[in-house]
Amino acid sequence: MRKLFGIPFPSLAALLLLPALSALPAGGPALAGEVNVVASVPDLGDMASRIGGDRVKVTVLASGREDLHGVPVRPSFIPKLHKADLLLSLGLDAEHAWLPALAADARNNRIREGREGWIEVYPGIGILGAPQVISRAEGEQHPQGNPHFNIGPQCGRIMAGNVARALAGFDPDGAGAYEAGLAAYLAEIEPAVERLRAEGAPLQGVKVISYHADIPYLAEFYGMEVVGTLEPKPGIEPSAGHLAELAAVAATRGVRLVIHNQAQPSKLPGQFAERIGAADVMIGNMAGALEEADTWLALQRYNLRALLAGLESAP
Amino acid sequence: MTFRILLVIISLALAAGVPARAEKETAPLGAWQNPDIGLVYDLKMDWHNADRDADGSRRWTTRGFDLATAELSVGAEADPFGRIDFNAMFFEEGAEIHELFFTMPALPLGLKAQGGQFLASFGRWSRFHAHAMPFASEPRILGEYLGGHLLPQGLELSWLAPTDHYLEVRGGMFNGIEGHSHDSDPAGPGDAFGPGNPPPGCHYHDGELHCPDDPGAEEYYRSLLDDPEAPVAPGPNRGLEDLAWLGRVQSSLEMGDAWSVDLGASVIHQDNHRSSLRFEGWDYAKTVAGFDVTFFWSPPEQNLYRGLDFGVEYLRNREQFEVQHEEEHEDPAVAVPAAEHEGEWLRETLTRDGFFTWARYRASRRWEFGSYLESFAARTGPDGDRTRIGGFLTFNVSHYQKLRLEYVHDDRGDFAEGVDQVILQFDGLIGYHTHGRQR
Repeated sequence: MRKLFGIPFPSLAALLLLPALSALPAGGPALAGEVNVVASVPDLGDMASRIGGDRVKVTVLASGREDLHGVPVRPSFIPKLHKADLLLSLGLDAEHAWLPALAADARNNRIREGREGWIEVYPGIGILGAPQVISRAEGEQHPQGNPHFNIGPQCGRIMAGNVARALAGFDPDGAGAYEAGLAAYLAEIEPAVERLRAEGAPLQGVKVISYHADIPYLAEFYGMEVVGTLEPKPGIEPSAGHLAELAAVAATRGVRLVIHNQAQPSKLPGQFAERIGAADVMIGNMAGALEEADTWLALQRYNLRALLAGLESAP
Repeated sequence: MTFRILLVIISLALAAGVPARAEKETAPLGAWQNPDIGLVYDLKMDWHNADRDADGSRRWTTRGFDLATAELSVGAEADPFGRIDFNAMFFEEGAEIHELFFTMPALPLGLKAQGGQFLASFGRWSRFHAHAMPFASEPRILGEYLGGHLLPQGLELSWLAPTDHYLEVRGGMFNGIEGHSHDSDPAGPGDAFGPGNPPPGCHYHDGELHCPDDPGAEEYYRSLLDDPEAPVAPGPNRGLEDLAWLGRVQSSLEMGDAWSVDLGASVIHQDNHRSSLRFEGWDYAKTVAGFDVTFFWSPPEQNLYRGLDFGVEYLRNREQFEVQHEEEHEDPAVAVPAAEHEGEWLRETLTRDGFFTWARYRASRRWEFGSYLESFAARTGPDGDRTRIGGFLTFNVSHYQKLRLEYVHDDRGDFAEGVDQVILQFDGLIGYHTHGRQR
């Protein structure tokens, strides 16, 4: 075997070939005439389908029933991401525990975190809950602010606008079609959102407790006041001591609803609601969370119905 | 010297200040240069009854608290084409480079390349950092057949099949079949040589190993200790036959929303794993092959709070040794080929196999428990064959700290009774530390 500097030629060739290969374009090509869009959550898949119409092929990773921060990482996601032209995500580190590692392993430079095809739809949203102190002593924080804006009806318009811009940026020939798709989508959701606001008027000023710090946008939209969370800090399991303190606060403040979502334990919120004399309400955290909440707009409608029903049943 | 270099690197890394992830939106000047930095440590204490009193009765002893590992990881994108990751391992005796490698994650044709020193893609548990495994005690079969977690220097290329179904094929070229472990093993011969930790049933007296109840074991251990001419790994000037070649195929199947299964098959071969010092041109080959199957149950609505994974990893090791012929060997499985003269040195080819199987259940966000069972053939024959069964209970204080209590019963053929071990483990993490999409 011939060698150079003690290195066998085949090994040397492989070493030299790698940097050369890395300069070549990588990633799965789009099918002709179709933008391959992968959405992290069904909310974004729904919007991309509605706005993109026939010009896009949309694949959604999460089913919508999972906790947003912990969608199980499945190898089957890898081929989907490999072919993606665009990867739509909520951003603000909502999917940080599972999406960046998947994108990094998909052999698709375009959609790796921070690259041109990695699209976060939060820009333009009035971000709530940005921590004053960034420290893990404060639990599992989101340093840039609370990422659960997808359940805030007021955020849909901005999310959809960002999806449309991303599609047009990748496929300029379709800009007109995306603009029309966005206009049609907004024409559907904007009046619906106004109706939600009107129908949700009874929630104005209602004091609530949530399981995790995931309802600030929802509360802002309906004018609810979040008094506390069952988790003492984000991502930290409730303790007896914390719950006792929270119960005392709830009694003083007159909390009427204890809110959790379908991916959180249901037993504890129910027990706590009973303890403080409030109603236990289960909402959805993503489109697809429940059968009757299969689109972003259906999710908002479902959540309002659940909140109003809870309010009605609250002691 | 290595220790000093590591300290300099670490000081520079820490001087860079705040981790980059926290600075995404409002990065101060210079923060973009910061790598991701994380520190993980693994503290263990164990009690075991491998030692005996003078009257032969078992005695429970502890090695005290053992800072098994402290791992400092530094990594960042190096340029638009790839990233560099560095993991330094600190332990009570010093420090070492645990991993240092580049990754080119998205080459054309569905390829990915890694090069440097890193956990090679062999089997399931060998690829895990010890602190990331669900049990405190590392599978002994890895130590027996691979020398621990397979951590050689080399190059690995993986190819993602361009299909809708996940299929990945990996190939690697490494300096050798070189394993790594910091786990203490009170019942294993590997760690039981030194005067501070003699093999079970043995002790040191005036620097000499004695196994009063088992002269055969004493002879065996002493032969290992006393052989200055034991075969050695290939030297610096290597041919292709001196390198180790790795192959792995892995895939996954999904069965509904909650169930999935990962499948993999691996092989690593080195023609000249060891070379004889006694005889010019005598080289000894080693091949380890295996398959791994892991089932996952992860109900979507409860995925943070409930979960189950279980599986099995089977390994088969074919290895050549330099042995001195014995007319009669007590174990037919390791009988050497016929030889005319006792005492003649021979190349012995030994094929051994074994498995490691486990199950882990996540009962809540904080609590998980499980068990494992392994059984494998040892080089020393049936006397050294091991069967271990263990159970563990883990309390996740948070995502970043955990406490684990583990019990393991270890049976080896030459033990009059098995060895029991109780391990208390504490793991903690600060900063940024990730194992990619590992599950």
